[in-house]
Amino acid sequence: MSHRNCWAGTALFAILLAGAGHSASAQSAADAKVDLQSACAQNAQSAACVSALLERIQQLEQRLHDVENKQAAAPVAAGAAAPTAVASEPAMADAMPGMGESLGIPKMEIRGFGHVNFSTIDHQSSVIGTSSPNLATSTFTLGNLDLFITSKLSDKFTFLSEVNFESGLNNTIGVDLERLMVTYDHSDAFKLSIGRFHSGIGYYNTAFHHSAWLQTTLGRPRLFEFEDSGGILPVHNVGLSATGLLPSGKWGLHYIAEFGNGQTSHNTIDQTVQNVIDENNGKSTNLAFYLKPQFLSGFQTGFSWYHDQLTPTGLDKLKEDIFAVHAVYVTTNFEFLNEGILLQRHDEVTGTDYHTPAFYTQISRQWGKYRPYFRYQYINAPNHEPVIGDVKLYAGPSAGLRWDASTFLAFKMQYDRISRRAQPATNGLGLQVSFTF
Amino acid sequence: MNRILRIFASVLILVLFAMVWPSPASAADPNDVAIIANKSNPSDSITVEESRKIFLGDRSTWANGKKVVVVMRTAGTPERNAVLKTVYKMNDGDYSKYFLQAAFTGKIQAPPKEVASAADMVHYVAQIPGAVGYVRAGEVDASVKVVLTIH
Repeated sequence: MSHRNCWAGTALFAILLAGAGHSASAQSAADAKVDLQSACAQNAQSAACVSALLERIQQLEQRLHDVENKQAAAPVAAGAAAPTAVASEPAMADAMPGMGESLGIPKMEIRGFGHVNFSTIDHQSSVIGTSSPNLATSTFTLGNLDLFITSKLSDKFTFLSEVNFESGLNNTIGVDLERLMVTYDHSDAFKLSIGRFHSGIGYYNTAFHHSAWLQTTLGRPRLFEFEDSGGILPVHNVGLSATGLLPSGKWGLHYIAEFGNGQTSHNTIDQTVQNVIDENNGKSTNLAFYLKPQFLSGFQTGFSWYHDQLTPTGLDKLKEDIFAVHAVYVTTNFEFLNEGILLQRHDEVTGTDYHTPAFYTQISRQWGKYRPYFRYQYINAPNHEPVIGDVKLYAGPSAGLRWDASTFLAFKMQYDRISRRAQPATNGLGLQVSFTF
Repeated sequence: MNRILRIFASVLILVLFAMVWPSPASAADPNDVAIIANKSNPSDSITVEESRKIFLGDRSTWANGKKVVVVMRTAGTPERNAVLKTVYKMNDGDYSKYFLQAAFTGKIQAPPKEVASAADMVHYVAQIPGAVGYVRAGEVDASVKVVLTIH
């Protein structure tokens, strides 16, 4: 019986040794096991055997404790947080390229974004085409469900698409293919994309796409509103886009050159992006340059010039030029965006010029999970502007608070006051929950 | 009076000398974080600003035309925290958001790859020509080269 107890204790001891998991102590543990087995066999006294086992266990526990303390005490340069045990399990299967692609089919990455709004305004206005319904009722509004898919087709070619399920003012849910691009990535100096993309006009349009979660505010500035929501700019284009970094040392001079179908003449009901057929042979062009100095991380400034020709039904041909400038400073905790455009249309028959100046400025600062923000925006379209005359004056401040309840979910609350020409100002309150998955 | 001035000047010179003399702390410490690259990489050293551009995905190719492949340790490791603080100037939440946005704008294809251990990191960087990662300085071996040390 005493031998049985001794062997049971030895087995328990062996399990404890295995649990310790330190190779350095494994050899001495094995030696100790042999010694104890020998002692048990010689003495045949269970009490003595158990006592010896317990003593040995205490010694090993103390040794394990010392090793753990030494590991925890090892500092890491640059002030890392409290050290944690370094995982030792191999993870190369996840890290090595091509793993899991046994059929040779490119791996598809998919991400999603979504949001839901609640909004109310004090009275109905004739504001056309903003993200809010602009009805004088308080209402919940389905935002969108945005599925973002990318794939690496080869070392030089990548694919990107953005499919958006969005609700319309007639309470239907529609599907839009917002972006579809195949990109040839030659080097930092030259990347060429073909397909449907966001025009490189200004900063906001290419920094933020259809995800409300990525944006600080409830929605985009009116200036960069999407075409199917009554936007005034060709924020999407179908064609070619080349981007790259020019030799400029620490100044970080980048370029964007685009060539595409442009937008059709203004139509707030149908699709204005010429996805399939261009209404004329002339193509839109866009040329942009911007600086991202290496010595001032977060700062970016640049300008762009977009040119196209419009042929609105029943009207004269129009030459369209859009000049945009921007200066932004964005860090993880601070955001200061400033953009201005001059939208210029020239009637080729009468020679009349129409100038629409617009700008916005936005500032926000994050404290912990909270980020208060402020934006002021301004658009002033001439009353007789042949394409966007219905926009007229649209100006006013917005102030709000974003609360990141978790890393991937945010609540926002925003107050807007919008002034229109010859109309009373509108006050609105909006709430939003936005997320990514 | 002149003697006092001389003593004062001597002390001042000694203090200035001590300030500019390299301190022992600036020498490599085994617990410093070493930014490591594949041995075939033409860059032998990079600055913190350059490492920031590389790790943020602002620079996608090396001088030899090889694609930059950034490798990170899994969340919670001290080395990762040090790189997030010094190079990225972000916390883990900001890091996730940044790479989601970067992927969404088409700037990068996917967030950096992650490995669980220093041995895996060294092995991966040694195998992939454009790879760049980091380990404690004491964990570097001859299969990779150190391009930057973060004290």
